[in-house]
Amino acid sequence: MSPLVDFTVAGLAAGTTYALVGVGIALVHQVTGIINFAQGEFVMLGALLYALGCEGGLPVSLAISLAVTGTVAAGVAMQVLIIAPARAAGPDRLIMLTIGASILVQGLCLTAFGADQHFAPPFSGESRVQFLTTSFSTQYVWCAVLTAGAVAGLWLLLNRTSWGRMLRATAMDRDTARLMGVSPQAMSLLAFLLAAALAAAAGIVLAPLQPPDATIGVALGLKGFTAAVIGGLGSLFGAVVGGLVVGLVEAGVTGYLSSGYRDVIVFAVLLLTLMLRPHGLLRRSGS
Amino acid sequence: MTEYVLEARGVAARYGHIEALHGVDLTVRAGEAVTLVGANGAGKTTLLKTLVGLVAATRGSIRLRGHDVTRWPVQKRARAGLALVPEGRHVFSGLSVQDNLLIGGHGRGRTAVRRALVDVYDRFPVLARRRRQRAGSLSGGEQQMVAIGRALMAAPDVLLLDEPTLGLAPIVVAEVTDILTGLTGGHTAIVLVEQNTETAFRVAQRGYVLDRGLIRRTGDVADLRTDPEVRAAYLGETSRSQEPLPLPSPRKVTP
Repeated sequence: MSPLVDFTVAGLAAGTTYALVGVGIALVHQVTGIINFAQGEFVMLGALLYALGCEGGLPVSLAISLAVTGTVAAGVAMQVLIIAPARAAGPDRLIMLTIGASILVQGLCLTAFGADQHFAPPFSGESRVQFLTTSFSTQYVWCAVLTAGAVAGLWLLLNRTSWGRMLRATAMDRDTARLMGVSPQAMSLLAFLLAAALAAAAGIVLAPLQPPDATIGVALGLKGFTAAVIGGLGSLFGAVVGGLVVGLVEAGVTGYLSSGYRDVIVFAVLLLTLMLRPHGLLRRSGS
Repeated sequence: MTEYVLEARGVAARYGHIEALHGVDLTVRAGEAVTLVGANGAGKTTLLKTLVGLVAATRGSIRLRGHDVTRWPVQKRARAGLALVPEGRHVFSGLSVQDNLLIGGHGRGRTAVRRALVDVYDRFPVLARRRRQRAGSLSGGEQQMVAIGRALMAAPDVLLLDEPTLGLAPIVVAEVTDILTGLTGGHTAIVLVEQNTETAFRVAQRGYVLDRGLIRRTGDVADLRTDPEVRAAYLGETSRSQEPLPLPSPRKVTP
């Protein structure tokens, strides 16, 4: 495989994970006004539970169920036990609480599962896909398919169901949605639940590519946040594009410079975006 | 069973340390239309927001169909039958007209929502033609129809409207006035805050005159309309024969 194609495929694969993290962050931010810095920990939890399930001999379908159920339960618990009781506090304090929740989830996982990496096999074994003159692991295809499926499912939910309609209305104008009888607490819970489900999906496809341990969540969360910021924090589509951009930048730096500069350059992109295009690369100022 | 569908007694509200309502009494019977009139800053919008729960009542009680809703959150009051059409319309600009209306019917059964949607489209045919269009792309008058139609989707016991003709062209004001007049006499009671006296007095049967957070006058619209003090205070007309109304000073409240 030529290096350019190699880096591009690897970058897009990693980018799909950041995209799902970014979409989760953007969704929660739109509906609640909070930036959930624990989103990366939920990806870690999903990846870890999936890998542990596989290591424990569970069939893939059961390992996926375990990962999704456990991660969604953690997301719901965070909203019910940490965010909802503090809802009277402003978004600034709630953001601090999400950082606290992130540390808590990581600590609990370190205690429960240790600091070791865990391994999950690719969904389709070691099979490879032939593309022009090169080939790559089918797990990269699974990354694309699962991310596209998750984003399409989210789009359908938001645009074709009454719950989605209420979520979008709450995101646009919380007080007016309340005047229509929509509970902001119920919408907040739904947003956290969906974000956790997206995180679980991201963790499940990531696990075979990057053996997870309990400490990978922080970097994933920050890169997902970078993706959401690049997309403008208010756009789910923007977060997907942002995630792919982050993945490609990361892979390009690793391939053509050094993996030592990878995070430096990704977070430099975040800083530059915040300074020069705080409304994101894809959104017009004030939109 | 109380004779009033909405009953506010001694309601006070404040913004920070400044009290904006000083103990307001307001009653509305089922199907009745009342208007709140008064100069800018009189407390009309604050009263509406307090009735629906967007501003907390610091004293007094608010009862809806006999139930004390004073401490209920906004969304619970909305589901119980209080609907506010806020000033500035506040349509969900990124949603289609139909989605805006369906949000208004949130919590009702599917059949009831379908029937309400047909009713709203009958009342506002232009919305039926534009049902797939984004609400934010409509004209001001059409957005006002969306806001009113959305509130009607809940079949509310009380429909509160805050300046529904503000910022609309005269021909659209006449249209909205006709719509509001058409809403009277049914199941839904109306509480109308309106700077346009023609609209306010045409729609309502009874009126309250608010001034600096207090009810100064109340009575039939026909009487208020000819009351020289009301005309002076509300319509901005001056009369040498009338002494200024004794008005309370704004009170600073110690938290």
